[in-house]
Amino acid sequence: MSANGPLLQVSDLQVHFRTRDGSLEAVDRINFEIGSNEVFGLVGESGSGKSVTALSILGLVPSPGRIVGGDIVFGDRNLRELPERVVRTIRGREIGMIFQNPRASLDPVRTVAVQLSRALRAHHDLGRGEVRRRSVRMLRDLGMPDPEAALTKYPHQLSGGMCQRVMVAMMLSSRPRLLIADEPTTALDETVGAQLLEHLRRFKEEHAASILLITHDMGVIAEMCDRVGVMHAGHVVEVGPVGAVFRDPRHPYTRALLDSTLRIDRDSPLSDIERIPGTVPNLLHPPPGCRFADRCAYVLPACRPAKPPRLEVAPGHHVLCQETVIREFAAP
Amino acid sequence: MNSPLLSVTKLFKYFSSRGQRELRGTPEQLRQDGPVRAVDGVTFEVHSHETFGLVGESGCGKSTLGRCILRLLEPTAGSVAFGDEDVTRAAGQRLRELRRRMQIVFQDAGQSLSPMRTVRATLAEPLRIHGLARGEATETRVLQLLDQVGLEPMHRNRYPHQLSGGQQQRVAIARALATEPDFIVLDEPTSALDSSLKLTVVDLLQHVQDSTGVSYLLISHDLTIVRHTCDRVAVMYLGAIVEIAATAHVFDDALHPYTQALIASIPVPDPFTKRERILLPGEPPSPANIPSGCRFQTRCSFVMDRCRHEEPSLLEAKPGHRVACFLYAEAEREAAPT
Amino acid sequence: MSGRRVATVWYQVSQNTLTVVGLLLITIVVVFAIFAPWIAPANPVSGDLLNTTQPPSSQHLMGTDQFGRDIFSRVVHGARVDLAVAGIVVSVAFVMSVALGALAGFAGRVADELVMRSMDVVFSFPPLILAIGIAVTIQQGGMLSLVVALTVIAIPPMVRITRAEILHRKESLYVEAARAIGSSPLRVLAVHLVPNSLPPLVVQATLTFGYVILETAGLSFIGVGVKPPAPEWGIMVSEGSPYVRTGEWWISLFPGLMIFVTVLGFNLVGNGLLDVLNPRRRRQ
Repeated sequence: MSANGPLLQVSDLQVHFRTRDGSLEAVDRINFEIGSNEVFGLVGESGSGKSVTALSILGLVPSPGRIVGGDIVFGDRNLRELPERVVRTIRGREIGMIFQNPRASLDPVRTVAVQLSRALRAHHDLGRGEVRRRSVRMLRDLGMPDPEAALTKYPHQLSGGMCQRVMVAMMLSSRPRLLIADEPTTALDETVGAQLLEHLRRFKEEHAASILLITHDMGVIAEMCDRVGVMHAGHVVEVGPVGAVFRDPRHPYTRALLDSTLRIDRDSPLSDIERIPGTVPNLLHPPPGCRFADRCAYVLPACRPAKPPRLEVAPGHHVLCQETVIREFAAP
Repeated sequence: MNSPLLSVTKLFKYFSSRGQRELRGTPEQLRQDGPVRAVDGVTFEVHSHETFGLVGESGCGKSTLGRCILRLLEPTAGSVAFGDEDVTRAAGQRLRELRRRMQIVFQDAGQSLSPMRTVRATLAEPLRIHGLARGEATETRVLQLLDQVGLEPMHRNRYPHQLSGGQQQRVAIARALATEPDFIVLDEPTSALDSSLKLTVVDLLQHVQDSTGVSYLLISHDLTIVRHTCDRVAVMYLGAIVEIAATAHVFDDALHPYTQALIASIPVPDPFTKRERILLPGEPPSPANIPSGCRFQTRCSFVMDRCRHEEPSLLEAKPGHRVACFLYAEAEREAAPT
Repeated sequence: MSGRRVATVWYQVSQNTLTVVGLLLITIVVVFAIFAPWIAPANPVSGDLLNTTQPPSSQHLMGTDQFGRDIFSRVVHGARVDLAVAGIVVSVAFVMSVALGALAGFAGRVADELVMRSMDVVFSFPPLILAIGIAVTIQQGGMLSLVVALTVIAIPPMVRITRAEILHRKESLYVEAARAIGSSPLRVLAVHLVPNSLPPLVVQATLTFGYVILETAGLSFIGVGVKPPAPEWGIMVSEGSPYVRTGEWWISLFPGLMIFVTVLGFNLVGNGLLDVLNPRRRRQ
């Protein structure tokens, strides 16, 4: 593996879902990369394809979905060319995943202790006592109240926040190089979500790991991420450093998304908040040109027939939009 | 200010920790058996034309409180006065009349609509129960209600599962509006919705309030929405209100350490604003096992000896700004603990 | 259910081949029952004594029995008897189960205990034995005792389903919403709880239809139900059984096949409805 190359590179990834009425282009030729020791955020409305993207990286796209094109290069290996068996080992050891609903991803009939010790033993050769000591320590580090007691419990006896802590402990025990977190705080209370984000931050610092953070919350992106990709209707419409994207969004959708976000620290009247018109287009029959055209305030005649080009507006800052639109859009 | 539209006084709702038995007795007696103290002595008022926010994390008792106010649950003790009616004592015809004037919109609109009934049947039901419209007039009123919430006439023939989440919530709002109530409890009305839909529902509710003058009790864990819609806000923790004030005061000048942590935990969509991070340790205790003294003492970083033994009451620390915390026990000590 | 909803259900039913097969089988039997006098070439009760135990031929499609009666005609007329018994039993059981189930699920603990414990009493007997007992006790013979016996054993499972549905739905948000707009408890029950509890009951009723036909035939076979010479499938199987040993297989086989086809039809449709009406399995 090259020392300075990206940890994960997704290029021209295409995922289709076959349905009775034709094929649904959930993810359509997207490109982004995640550097080592970087937090990369994918943000978008529901139905934008961000979760499908995450599942593609793990090789877990649910049927009837299928990756129909593109490459997913992790380190120096193309995950799409490896046999399923090898991908499974990578998935367990080097890429971890935290889901939105932690209770559903835990085994309902095993205690926390059993599940944690399985995760620990899968990666380390440890004795009984050591497993227990480490389990307690991990849970305590994650802020679990009374970790000793928690070990004896079943998932249904724990709150959502506690389940999420167990899930995170299991994931972190394998010390993955890339952690994928899909809406990790959405189902949690605010104060518990804030704790979780803090743990993810610490994990990244301590293990020099990378995180792919999927969320619909621009606030989480701003607080956590180094770079961000904005998804709309199966496209990554803008990708770049968080500072640049937030200060100077170059895609009309990114700006609309930012302008429609309420802030807890501002008292702006509701009438000043932008509403993004319309909804994500039907991906069974997506518009031939730009998929945002129908909702875009800056739309030009050229946007509808032709697919928008992928332009590099600044180093490492790409936008999927017609050049003329970007120019008009950037004008004060 | 004129007399309040709704006043809740020392309201308690305890559940048995074993089985579904209704508990009878005073809160003091019942406390011996370690019940689940979902609502533990709550007092507040809602005025006409006001939007009052009730915030707190899951399990703090805010939804239970909302249901007790409407008598969908029987409160264990305390009183709810609506105008000059005592809601907790009303029965029969008088309770029905109260139900006409007080309504509720639930979080999960899809679940709150009867699955085998069309939108028309759902909207006609309250009209019929309260004798507000008959025959032709029902149809006219249904169309009017659909229009009021931004739905098309064709939607009246749909079944709930044929509607999107946003449309279901609009139907639920229309049902609540059918009886022209003075007061609506909004129980997490936007939480199940996508962020772009949230705003349109909020717009709708705002519009309804502007045109009808209805008062809202907005129960929500979404503090950003609350900040932008409510006139006054109460913060609940483990069954009790710990802080209550005008919205701007709560958000810009939070006094209670819990409120401060809650607000600090909401991410701000601006990478250039650096805010102080306040992390609360652990999880809230179970409402069946509320700590002695101040209920927040186990997680509070300002905890003092007094907090462990004595329960702070909700007192005015600044004009119109009440807080239940010993840090503000003396009026002179005004500085917030930041 | 409105036309639109029926249309949706029909669309989903038609997606499942087995359900369509089941519907087809039921249709055949129902057509037999309705148009029996026109379809049957001969009188089902009086026979031609010169032509007994004839094997199937172009004249007698399914042959003749020991009294020279045309088996095809008897099978066609038998559909009337069996469907009538099953229809009455299932309708009565359905209505009573809804009433008892609603009472148990809605009217408080005493009613619940009373209803459910009496159901347990019925449940604690093997169903067929109980049916024989009831039918013999009534002693009116014929249809009435059969119908009563079969209704009694059909009710308990349906009451259990109704009660469970009502108890479960009582906690639902739409019931709370109905209370919030001022609905009386009775209205909540009649307008919201019962209609929403019906789908699984419809499935159970469909399946019960099949069982009742089987049991009618069974009871008639051992002489408790419908009496000869009525053209009932169970009796026909019973009457033909001695002749199977001597090689006259057609006397028992064809009525037996009809029982099989009808029960299969109702089971296929019942399972199909289970898929369609179960919201968790329902597709958007």
